Amino acid sequence: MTAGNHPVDHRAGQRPGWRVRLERSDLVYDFVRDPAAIAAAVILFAFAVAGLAPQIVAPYHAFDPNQFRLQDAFLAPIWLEGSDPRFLLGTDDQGRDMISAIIFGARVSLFVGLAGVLLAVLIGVAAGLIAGFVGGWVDAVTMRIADLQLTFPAILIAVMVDGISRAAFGQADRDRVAVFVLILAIGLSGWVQYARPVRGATLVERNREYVAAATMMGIPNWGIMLKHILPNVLTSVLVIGTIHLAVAVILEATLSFVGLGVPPTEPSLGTLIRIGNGYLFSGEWWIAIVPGGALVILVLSINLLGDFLRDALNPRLK
Amino acid sequence: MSRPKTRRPPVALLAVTVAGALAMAGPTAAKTLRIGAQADAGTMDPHAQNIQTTISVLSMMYEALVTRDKSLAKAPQLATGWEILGPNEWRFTLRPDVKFHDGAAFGADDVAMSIARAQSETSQFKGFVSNIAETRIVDDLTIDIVTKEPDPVLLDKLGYLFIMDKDWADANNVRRPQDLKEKEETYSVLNANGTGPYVLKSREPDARTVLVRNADYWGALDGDIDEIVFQPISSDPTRIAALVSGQIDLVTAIPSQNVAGLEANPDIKLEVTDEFRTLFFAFDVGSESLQHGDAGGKNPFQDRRVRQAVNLALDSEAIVRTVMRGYATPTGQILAPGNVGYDRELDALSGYDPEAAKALLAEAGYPDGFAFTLDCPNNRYINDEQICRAAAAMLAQVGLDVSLNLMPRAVYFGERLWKRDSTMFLMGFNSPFFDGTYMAQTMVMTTDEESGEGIYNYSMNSDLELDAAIREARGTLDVEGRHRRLQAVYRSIKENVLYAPLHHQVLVYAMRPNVGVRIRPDNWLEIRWVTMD
Amino acid sequence: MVSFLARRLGQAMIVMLVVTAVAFVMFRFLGDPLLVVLGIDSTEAQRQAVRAELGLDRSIPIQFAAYLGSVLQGDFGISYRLGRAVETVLIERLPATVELAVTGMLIAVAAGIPAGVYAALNRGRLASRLLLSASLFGISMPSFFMGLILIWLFSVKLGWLPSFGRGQVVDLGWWTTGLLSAGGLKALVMPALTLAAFQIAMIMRLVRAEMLEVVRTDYIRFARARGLSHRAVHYRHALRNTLIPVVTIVGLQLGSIIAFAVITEAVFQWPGLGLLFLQSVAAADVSMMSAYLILIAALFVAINLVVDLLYLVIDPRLRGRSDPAWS
Repeated sequence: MTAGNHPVDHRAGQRPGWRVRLERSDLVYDFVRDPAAIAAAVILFAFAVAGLAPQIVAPYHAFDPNQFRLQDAFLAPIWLEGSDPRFLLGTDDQGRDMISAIIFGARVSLFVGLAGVLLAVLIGVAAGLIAGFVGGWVDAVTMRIADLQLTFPAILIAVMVDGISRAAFGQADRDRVAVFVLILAIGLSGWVQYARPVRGATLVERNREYVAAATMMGIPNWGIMLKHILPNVLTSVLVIGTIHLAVAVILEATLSFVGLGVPPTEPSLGTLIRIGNGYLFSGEWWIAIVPGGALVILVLSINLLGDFLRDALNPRLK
Repeated sequence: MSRPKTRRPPVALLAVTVAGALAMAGPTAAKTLRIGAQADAGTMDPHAQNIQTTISVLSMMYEALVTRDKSLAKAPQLATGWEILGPNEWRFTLRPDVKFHDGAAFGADDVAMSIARAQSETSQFKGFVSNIAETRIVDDLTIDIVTKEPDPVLLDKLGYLFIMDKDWADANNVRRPQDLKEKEETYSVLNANGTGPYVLKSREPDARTVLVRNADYWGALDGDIDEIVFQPISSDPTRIAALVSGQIDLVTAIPSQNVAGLEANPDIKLEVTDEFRTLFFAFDVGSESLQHGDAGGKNPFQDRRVRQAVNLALDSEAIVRTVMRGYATPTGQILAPGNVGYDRELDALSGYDPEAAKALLAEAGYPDGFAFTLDCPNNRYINDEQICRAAAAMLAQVGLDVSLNLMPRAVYFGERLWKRDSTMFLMGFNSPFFDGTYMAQTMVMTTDEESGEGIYNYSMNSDLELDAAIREARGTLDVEGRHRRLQAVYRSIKENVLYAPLHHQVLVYAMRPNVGVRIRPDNWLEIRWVTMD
Repeated sequence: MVSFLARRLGQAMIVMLVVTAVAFVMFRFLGDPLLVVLGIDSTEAQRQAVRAELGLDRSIPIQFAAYLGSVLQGDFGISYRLGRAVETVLIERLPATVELAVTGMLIAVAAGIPAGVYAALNRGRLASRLLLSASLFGISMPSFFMGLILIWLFSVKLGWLPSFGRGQVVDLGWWTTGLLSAGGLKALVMPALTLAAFQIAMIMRLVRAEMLEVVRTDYIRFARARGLSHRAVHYRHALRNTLIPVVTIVGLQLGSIIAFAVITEAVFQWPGLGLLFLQSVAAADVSMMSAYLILIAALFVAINLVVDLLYLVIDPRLRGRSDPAWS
């Protein structure tokens, strides 16, 4: 699942500046007229608020053992028989409120996803800028690595990073660094899709007169790159990044589900589904289905917004 | 608690139709029993892997000198009888006219070879035969076994020793179990040749193992099943779905949470038995400071009061009720009923009392608790992960700062327990000989690798008085005397709170209504007792 | 052409070397296969002896050299979990995964391309919008979750399809196939659909986007201006140009689909390479894990090489271009 294969056009080099495009694309106008995008944005906003202040939003602190009791385990969602008004979506096998578990779980999932994407952006933009600006063998080597990397599915890279981390930290102690391992895996598997458009844009800009002029005036190279080239690739990075985030959240959930990701003591949505998996056919289906549904809604919202951004910022596709 | 209806008329109808079709086909139709299990048998070699699933599957093809009857008393299998010639000498009379699957006759040389084979370096059954000094073939159907020391559980141990044909072993170059270090496949990993009621027909590791009825079997079977298909399905919901949808006929060791749903299903029958396995937490009492944790340089678990506080903080009844859904028996001791040395009085619970636990912690000098890591396997015992998550929450509720560390069993044993590198950990002990001696000797005694004492003593417990008491019990051949001595040993263990006991496990097998199974409490699936209508 | 090939082969070698190094790191540091080798009641002295015998106490470069040497000879060691030669087991499991992946890919192509073309040519229509929404669901649904729901629906509730395994398998000697029996085909339905769902959605979105681009190009405009019918323009010219990048991606996705089969195989207990890998992880069967990594990497490198060459054949204009248009 190389996200670079998403049908996103990011040959950014040939485009006008982002401000111009933003205005021309009437982003706001489009947004107001697109109910799906609005709904997605609202849902994402809710997830973001809940993730930033879970202690306030969540009815219970899902991972504070003093706030749940085993006696409350396996309570059904409120519309089913065997429910308890304290827990709207029921409780899991430890007596944790499902809503709270999802809020805290989505927080971990989103954190891992965002941090992973951010890392990929940082690596990708830096590599693209340097490759494009320096050129020569640096460019050749970077782009060859990118080519090779693109053939490796993200999940395999994640598995390899995971394997190395287990080797480095010992199987037993690996759990403590699991979140960072995942972030690293997402970052390392996704940077190529940013590096390519950035390099393209840099190649175009590098030959412009103002760059030569700036160089002569003694402005350091990185200053030029950041100031003039970055704005041109920002929209591409934004669009790719949104779709990458969706991919990253799914990747995290998938790895956690098979036990290669976040440990159960620090539940993400994937871990919650893994825990619920054991109860899928024992009557307590909600322990798996509720966080699963939340995951699908979250990813769907990100994708909807990604689609919207792509269409809105890329007038040719309208 | 609501339980969604599991009625599905179309499926029920389908099942009836299929069953009807089979019945109409008459007695000539082959009866196939499809078994689903959590894990596959690791090998077809009878002496290579001391794991219950492997032993169960192999027992359909291979047989031992001794077996157990339905009352679990020791009974003749390949031996028709035995007598004690002296404190260290036993004579076994072997069953005549028994043939291996390849047609070769069974005799004393096969027994001698099998014992030697199990004693070889690459065998995982060394511990079962290490006390055997020599075997003497008296005649073709008589063999003497000489032990190094008097051995009260020799017969129980021999119940695990499957007999392989000597000529077959020679012909296929498998006189020893496979040496994994040699990096070679050996013939006996994928092939089997025993005297048992079923013959290996095909073997696809991790997928399916097919056995067919041995037409020349010497013994009797309760059922008349022609073919057995053994299929591992590691994912719990997938396995349950396979049973419910009629793809398999029998599932061993059902996770407790699935029992109620299956009970409500008219197409499924359940068999329940108390297992010879007790779950409990153990502590590192040997280290001077916590290996994983922080208690100001000390090891609080060396203090009986702290161990008692843990005991009081764990609500084993709530764990049994909620996590185990009632399919377990809460207990205050580590030895399961039915074992020699079991004392019903010790089953009394310490009681759940978080306030008393806090008071004890304060009294021991830890009013604010301390931090430590709780190590648990996540694929070893029934609901082990859930038990540990519940226990970690309960311990946190009395002020202990617990980090839970869940691992697959290979890592759990390999990286933590073997290295004696765990501060508090979950154990589940199953006495293979229905006798408390084994657990006391291997888990409680001070570790001495030479003699095999304390090889499972991951707590690094060392109590010389207790060691002496266990030695004395071990040397007592008479069952009554050993029983009383062991009771005293286990009483002392309980009084010292060396462990925090949770529950005795309960085994639940689920099957289609036409299948009949009698469960052995050591989770050994005895195929001779399985019937199918 | 020759230099291109040489360069690609060189890169492939580097990739394989890196993967082998990673595999070795896992092999060396991850696992203590001793639990499997010695059983649970081993003593520390025995473990030390075995470590020495297995060469685990030698220096790391020497161990790596030894590992590389034996891998080059096709010797991946022995699986401690199964007691069998690793390469034998891999070859045994390969057919299950290949059949699953290829079936999944065929479903994805057969459904994804027409849906994408339709959505591109009928923009704004209800059916097209529905397709687009469905594709969004497709890329938002984690495959393990979808697998669980399929099992619940078609095995538990309806009882139509088996929930696990490959069903009846026919052994052809060098290959085992589930495609020749009704049971095998039934068993294939749900895993293949689970695996294909994401790919259908992705291919559909890709085809739609490419098609929209192509329709807008001058070339198509000229074709229209020449008075060719819409049908001819769309299917003969636009679709053909669309398919070039699609072919590439489908090729590359085959690798991805094999990697993702890990999840599907776990959910459906499909006895292929992915399940083998997960079981090996749980048992710390490092020789098997390492070999799996190397095998999968080799597969990707090979697919990538073939796709590169195909691309060159299909579209000679691209020779010399470093990044293909679709990236």
